[in-house]
Amino acid sequence: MEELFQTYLTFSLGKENFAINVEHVEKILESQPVTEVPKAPEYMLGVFNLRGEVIPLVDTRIKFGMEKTVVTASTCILVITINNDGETLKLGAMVDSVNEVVKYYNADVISLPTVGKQNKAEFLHGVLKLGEKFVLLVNADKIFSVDEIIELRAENFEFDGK
Amino acid sequence: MADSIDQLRESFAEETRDLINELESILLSIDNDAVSADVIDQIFRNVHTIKGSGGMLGFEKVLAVTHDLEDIYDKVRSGNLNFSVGLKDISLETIDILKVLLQNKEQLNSHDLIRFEDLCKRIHLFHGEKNALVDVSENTLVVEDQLRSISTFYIEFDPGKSIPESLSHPIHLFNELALMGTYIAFSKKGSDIRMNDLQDSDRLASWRMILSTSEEISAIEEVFGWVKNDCTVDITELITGNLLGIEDAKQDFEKEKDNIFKLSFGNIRKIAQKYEEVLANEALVEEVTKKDKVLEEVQTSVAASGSIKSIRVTTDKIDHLMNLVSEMVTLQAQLNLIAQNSGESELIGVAEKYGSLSRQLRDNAFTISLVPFGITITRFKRMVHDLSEQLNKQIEFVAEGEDTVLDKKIIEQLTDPIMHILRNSVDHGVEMPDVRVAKGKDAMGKVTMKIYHQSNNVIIKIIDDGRGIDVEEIRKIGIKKNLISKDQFYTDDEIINLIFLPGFSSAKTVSNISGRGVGLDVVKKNISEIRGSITISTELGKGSVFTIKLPLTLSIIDGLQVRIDQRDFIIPLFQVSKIYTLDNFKKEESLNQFMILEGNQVPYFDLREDFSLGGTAPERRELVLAGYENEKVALIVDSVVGENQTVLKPLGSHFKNQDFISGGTILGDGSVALVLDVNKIVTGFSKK
Repeated sequence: MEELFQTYLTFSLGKENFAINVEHVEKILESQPVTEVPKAPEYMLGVFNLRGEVIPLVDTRIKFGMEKTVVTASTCILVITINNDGETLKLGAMVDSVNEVVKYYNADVISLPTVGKQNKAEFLHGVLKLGEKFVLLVNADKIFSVDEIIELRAENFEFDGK
Repeated sequence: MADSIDQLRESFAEETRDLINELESILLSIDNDAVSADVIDQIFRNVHTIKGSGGMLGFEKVLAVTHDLEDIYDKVRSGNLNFSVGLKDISLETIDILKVLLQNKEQLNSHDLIRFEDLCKRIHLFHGEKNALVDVSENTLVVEDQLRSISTFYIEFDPGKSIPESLSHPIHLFNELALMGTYIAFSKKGSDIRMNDLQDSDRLASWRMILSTSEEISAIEEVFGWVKNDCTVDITELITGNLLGIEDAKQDFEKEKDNIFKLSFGNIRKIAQKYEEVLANEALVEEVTKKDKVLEEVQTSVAASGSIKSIRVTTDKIDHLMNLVSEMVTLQAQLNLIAQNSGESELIGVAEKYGSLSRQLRDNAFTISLVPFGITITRFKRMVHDLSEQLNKQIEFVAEGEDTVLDKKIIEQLTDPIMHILRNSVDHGVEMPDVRVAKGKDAMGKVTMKIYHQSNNVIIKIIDDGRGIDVEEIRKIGIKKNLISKDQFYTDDEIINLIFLPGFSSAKTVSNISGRGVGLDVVKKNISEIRGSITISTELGKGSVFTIKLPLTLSIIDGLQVRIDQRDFIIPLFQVSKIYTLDNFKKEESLNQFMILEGNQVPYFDLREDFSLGGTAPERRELVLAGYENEKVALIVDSVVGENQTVLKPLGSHFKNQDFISGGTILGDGSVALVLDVNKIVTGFSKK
C-alpha cells in the first residue's frame, strides 16, 4: 500500500521553489571547498571531501536551466543519495537556500499532464501548492542521473490551479 | 600446506553454506504430492556435492550425515522410492545439522551431538540399513550423564570383621565420594561419633553419609566395588534434587548427629521429604538454567573455538570503513602539523603515537579488502586440463602460493590476462609429447604458476618448460611487420618484448586457441590498467617465464603531486620516469605537439591548456615524463610538489566522461586532488 503522506524538504533556487523527498537527503552542509574537474559539464562543479568520501557537486541552478549559483551565506549543499538503475549514487546538490520540511497528503499533489509543451513530467513527482507558492516536487532519482540540463521552472509546466 | 587445507575447508564451508541454503529453499518449495524429477535431481546433486567435497576435506560428520541421504535420493531418483513428507523432514533436519557442523567445524556441543547422532540413526533407519556409521549408543550415554540432574543419596557403611590390610583405608573411599558432590558424613567408633571428619577416622568405624551428586547410583556403587565382599554397603536414593544445597536440611541432619546411627532409613527420609516441595521448585529453575547453559555453551563454543574464521561483509561496509580510516589519517596529519607548530613536546609525543597507531589501523583495514588468489585457480586448472586434452598434449599444472592475498578488484581483472598467458604456454610453449621425448625431455610438460608477495607488490609467474621463444624468429617477424628497423641493434629483451605490441602474432598457423585476434598486447593493456607490468624471459628449448608485477591494492596509490594554477593533481608514481625543468617553453618552438627530450621525440601535453584551466603559465615550469616503456609522454605542469601516498577514491559515474581522471584523493589539508590516468590522457587527448 502506498503511504498516505510524504515528507519533503523544500529549497529555493532564486524565486523558484522545489522540494525533495527527505528519504534522499543525507545531510545539509554549508558551502564547501570544491576541486574542479577539468572538462566536466558546467553544472558539475567538481568534487568535495565529505569525511573521507569524494563526493561530486552539482550546481542545481545550472542543472535546472538557470544562471549559475552565486554563493551567499544562505547557500547550502544537500548531500543526497539517488538510485540509478540499481546503483546508489551519492552527490551534493548546491542550492540557494533550504527552507522547511513539509508533510503533505498524496491527494493534495497536483499531478502533471504526461503530455505537454515540454514533456518533463517524468522529472517531477508533481506540484504542491503551499499558500500562494507552487512547489515542484523533484524526482531526484531521475533528474540527477541524467547527463543533461533539465529546464525546471513552474512556468514551463502546465498544471491545474495555476 | 596446513594453511591451504584450512583455507580449502573454509571455502568449502562457504560454498556449502550456499548449497545448503539452495537445498533448503528447494525443499521448502516442494509440493509434497507432485515432485518433479528435475527437483529430485537437483536435490541429489546438491547432497552429492556436499558429501563429495566434505569427504575429500575430511569433514567426517558431514560425510556421515549426507552419505545415506545421498543414497536415499538416488533411490528416489531412479524411481525405487517415493518422495515423502518424512523424507522432506529428515532432509530439513539434515540441513539444520549441516549448518551447525559447518559453523563449528564439526566440534559439536553435547546437545547438538545428540541431535546429530539421533539424526544419523534415523536416516539410517530410513535407508533401511542396520549398522550405523557412527556408534551411537556409547556417545549418547556419556552425553546424557552430563545433562543428568542432581540427586541425594543415603549411604550406610559398616566395616566387616576384617578389612584386608592391603585394601585402602575406607576413608579413601569416602574421600572419593566427597569429590562427587556435597556431603555430610558421620563416623562412629564405639560411642564416639564424628562429623565430616574424613581424615581422622578409624579403619573400623561405621559410616553414614548423605551425598548430593549428579553421578548415578551405579557410579557410587563402583566406589565400593573393592570392599563390597567384606563390608556392608547400602546406598539408597533419598530424594531427587540437591538436598544438601538447602541450608536448613543440612542443619536438620546435623541436629540428629547423635541419633543418626539409631534412625531407620524411613526416619531419615522423613527429614528429607520436608524439603520435597522446595526441591521440586529448584528443579524447575534448574531446567531453565540448564537450557540457558546449553545456549551459552553453543555461543561460547562458537566464540571460543573461533570456528567462524571468516564473515561475509558487503564491500560497501569495507569501503565505508576505509573512508573513515583514511580520513582519520588525514586528520592525524593535521594534528601532527599543529603539534609541531605548537612546540609542546607532550602534544608532539601524543600526536606521533596517534600517528603510528592510525597508520597501523589503516594498513590493517586495507588487508580486509584482500582475498586469497586461490579462489580463481580452479578455472585455470580446468582450462589447462581441457586445452591440453584438446591438443593431445600432456601437461601438469602446478599452482604455488594460492593463499597469497590481493585486492579483489585486481583478481577480477587478472583472470582474463592469466587465462591468455596460460593458453599461450599450453598452445605455443609446451611441445607435443613425441617432440619432448625426442628432445630428451619428460613427455609430460609442466606449467607452473607461482604467486607471492614482494614488498608492496604481488608477483605472479607463469613458467612453462616448453620450447621457449625463438628471438631470431621474433626479430624476423618484427622486421617484416615494420615494428623494428633492419639496421638498428636491439637487445634480445627488446626483441622479445615485441610480442606485446599490437598486431604481433607469432603463431605460424592460426589456431582457434591463441590466434583469435586478441594478442599479448591486450594482456599487457589489461595488466597496465590495474597498474601492473608484465615481463617475459625465455630460453630457447628450455621454456619461458611470464612475470606479472602488481600493486597489492588498487586503492592505495603512490603518487607524484603536481600543481597547475593553484590546483593539485596526482600522477601515479609508477608511470613517472623523469622530471625536467622547463624554462620559457614556447609552443611555437615545438613541432606538432612533439618536443625533443634527450634526443628523442616525445609527444607533450600542456595540462594547463589541455585541461582548459586558464590563467598564465609561470616562466619556469616543470615537465614530467610519464608513461610506460615504449610510450612516453611529457606532461607540462607548473611545479612538482613531491611524492605522496594516498587513497584512491572513484569520482563516480557523474564524471564518467572525464576518464583521464582515475579518481580523487584527499590531501593532508582535507582538500581533494585529482589523480590523472596517463594512458587515458594520451589516448583521449591525442585523438582530437
